[in-house]
Amino acid sequence: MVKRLKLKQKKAISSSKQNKNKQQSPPEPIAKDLDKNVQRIKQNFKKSADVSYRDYQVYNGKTPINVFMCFIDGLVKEDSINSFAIKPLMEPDFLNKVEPLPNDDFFKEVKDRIISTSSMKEANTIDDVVNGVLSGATAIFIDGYASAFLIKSIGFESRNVQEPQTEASVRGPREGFNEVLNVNSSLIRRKIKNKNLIFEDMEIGKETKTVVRIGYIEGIANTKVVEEVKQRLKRIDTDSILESGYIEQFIEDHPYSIFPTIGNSEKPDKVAAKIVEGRIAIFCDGTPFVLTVPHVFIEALQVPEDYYSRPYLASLLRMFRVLALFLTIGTPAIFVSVATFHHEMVPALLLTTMAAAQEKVPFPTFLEALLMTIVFELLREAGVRLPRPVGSAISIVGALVIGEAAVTAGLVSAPMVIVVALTAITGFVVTALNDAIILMRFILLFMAGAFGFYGVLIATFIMLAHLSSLRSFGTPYLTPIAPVILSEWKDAIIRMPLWLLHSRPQTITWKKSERQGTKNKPQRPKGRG
Amino acid sequence: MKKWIMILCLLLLTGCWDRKELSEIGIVAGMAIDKNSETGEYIMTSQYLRPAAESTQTPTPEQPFLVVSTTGKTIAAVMNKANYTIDRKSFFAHNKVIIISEEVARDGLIPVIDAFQRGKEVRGHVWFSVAKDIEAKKLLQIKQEKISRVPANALSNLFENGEYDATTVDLLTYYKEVLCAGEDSVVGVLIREETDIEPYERVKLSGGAAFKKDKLVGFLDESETRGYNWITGGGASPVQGAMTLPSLLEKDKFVTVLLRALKSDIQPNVNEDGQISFTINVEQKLRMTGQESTVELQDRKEITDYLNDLQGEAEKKIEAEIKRVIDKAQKEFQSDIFAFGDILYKHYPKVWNKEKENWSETFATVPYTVNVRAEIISSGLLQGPFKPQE
Repeated sequence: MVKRLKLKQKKAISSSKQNKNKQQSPPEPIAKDLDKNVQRIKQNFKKSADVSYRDYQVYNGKTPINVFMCFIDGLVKEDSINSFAIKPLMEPDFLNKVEPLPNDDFFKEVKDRIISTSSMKEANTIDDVVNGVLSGATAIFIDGYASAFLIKSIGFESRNVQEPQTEASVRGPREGFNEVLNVNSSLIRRKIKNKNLIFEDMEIGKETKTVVRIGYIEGIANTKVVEEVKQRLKRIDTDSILESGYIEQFIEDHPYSIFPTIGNSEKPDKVAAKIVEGRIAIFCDGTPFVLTVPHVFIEALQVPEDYYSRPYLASLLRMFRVLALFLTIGTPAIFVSVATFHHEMVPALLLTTMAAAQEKVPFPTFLEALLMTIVFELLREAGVRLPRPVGSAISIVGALVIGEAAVTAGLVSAPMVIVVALTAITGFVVTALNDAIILMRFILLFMAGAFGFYGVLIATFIMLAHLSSLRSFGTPYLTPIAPVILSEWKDAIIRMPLWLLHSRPQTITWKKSERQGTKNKPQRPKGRG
Repeated sequence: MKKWIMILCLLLLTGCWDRKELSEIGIVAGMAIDKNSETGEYIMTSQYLRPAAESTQTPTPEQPFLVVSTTGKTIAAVMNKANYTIDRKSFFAHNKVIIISEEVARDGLIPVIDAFQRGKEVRGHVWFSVAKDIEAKKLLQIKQEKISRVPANALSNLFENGEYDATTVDLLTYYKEVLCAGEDSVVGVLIREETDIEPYERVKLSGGAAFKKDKLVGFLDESETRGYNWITGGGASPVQGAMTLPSLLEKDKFVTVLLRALKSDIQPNVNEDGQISFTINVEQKLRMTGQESTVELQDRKEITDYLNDLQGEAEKKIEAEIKRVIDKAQKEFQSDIFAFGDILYKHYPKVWNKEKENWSETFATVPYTVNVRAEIISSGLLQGPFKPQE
């Protein structure tokens, strides 16, 4: 089935190419005449400086035959070309000794016995050769032979497998994806040694021709979802894919929603766990961020460490994350509502303290909250964008100016600083929902400034209604809370012990799928009282 | 589009829509209502908080409160009038105490509290009290023995800590009792007491003010209030406090017991002749906290007997106080402050319907029996009295 799919894919790609070429010229076959091929190749690459050419000769018996080689500097491992493609061909002893062969046999000899690389294929058209060279292969033309050898020689400088910056963890693997597609999928393969783990490639982006690879486990992942992912990827018709974020925006279910319906991660262990649960990973060449679908809301509150640490702490921390989510969205709004509309809801002593702090502040509470929240977002943005050494300076200046000077100068009340600080700190707890959180925070703040708790409630209801209308690749976004699936509550807000989590999330795989047996509970060995 | 219009309607077509910054409101912490006896106008004295004086950074040297008096024909008018005289809009939701002068209370309180309940600006759980022998507004101003910087907060805490020789009631409870047939209310009483140490005066919560309908008819002293609390179970706050009993072993020595759990109920009885009577059952648990006597008891039996005697002594004392307060309510006030009528209505609605027209006369002569059971549940982990040794 996979093969058929691949064929289909190839057909789709080649047919699109044909369509394009119809307007220009039909695909050009490789000629037997070497000079002609060389000319065509050089024409194709124009005068690009990074393309290297090399002419040399091999001997068939005593007859010299011209060979032409072409690759891109920096994209290939020159060592491997030297030792596996050039040296064996130029080795005089070997070919000199044998009798001169008929041409066809000679080429077969070269292909089968002399070029000693693990991966090689033949190309029949100039276009194929050009594409191959562009993706790091070395092309070898032999005079009199109407096809070219594409030797896999890709090898370039890349970042090592390092600890990911965005998702640090205390316990758990420290490795993270890097920018090389093959490395990324191999990191997953190393974790899931299963023949059913399938990677499928496709090329997206007319100009960049980025390789996008989807990975899933056949038999666990829902075939319809896999098909849907492929369909959506195929539909993308754009010139460039430079990061997986491009793909995300082209294939997501709800482009107008502020909530992300596609997850991403830099951590192989996290992606592997999701693949094993029946999700589909989308790797994109050139970025360490791997997409996973379907993505539901609750995933934003789960981190890999939840499963590595024992369930008590994990459950407690998850509940704190939920709390942090509400706090970071609602704190400024609630403070503004209480301070301008609902004075009766605060204990008298607290109200006095708040009033005392507010007494000399020249701004209305709403404006004060808005300004402070904006200033915080600016500081954060500055901290992220600036070079590392300057970044810390920014945070010091920001903390000093806002925390100390603004309060002393009477521009901002001290409780407001606490509110914004709380908002900021809790905002860093649920980073996966960051963009939605910031927007929601401002929406709620405006509603609070205009209508108090009433507005906050209305906005919250609208948000909840919206959230429950979302779907990600067929899975309701609020699963397992909005369609209530009690069996999945074992791993939602709290995490039950691993030995209790028998089945995989039903709404991801859409079928009953057992993860493990039911007798996993650790027990005392029999015979001991 | 329809959806958005609906949301817009939800937002814009609502009732109260009013925003007030914290620096625009004047938080009222306490309120006193007097009456000008010449013009018959109400005088409302409010204690406003001054937050700037409570600021943690640069507190102003002023007092943390401001007392303002305004006069007017009705309470609702006076509450509004305050806004003309001070620079903040009065905010009553955090009001803690309402003190009514005796004069206003004798004239009837429905006209006064109607403004609070209808306007919804004053909350139901504000402490409600009557000032005895002093103008209500003076109580907001006298230098009392307090730690809290705001007098109204100190007053409010008096109510929170109120013991069994005082009654405490909040506005909502009072309002319910007034509107309920077969029940009259007793309201907390604040008095001024002189002392001999700085600041030489203080406010004290003491006794209760008995009402008939919404009019004050008289005051209960502390002993009568205790009796009242034993019958009713203490109202808002649980009955607590210490009771002193004579030590039965030595003269002029005493035993002190703390009041613990109290169970009390009133049973109405109607016999064949239609004669109504009430049985009052009080079950009071006590804990011994002080024993002055030094006579040593010989064995366990003696200790048990001694405790039993003490229990009897406590029962006698409780029963006497209960009888005293019922007597006073029947003979002096003809006011059913124990809600006998309400209980009769609940058990014998038909009898009550016949009696309700002239219930206060019936109540004045209704017979009753009192059953008191006191139990000393603990003697503080120490057995019997101790004898000093040489």
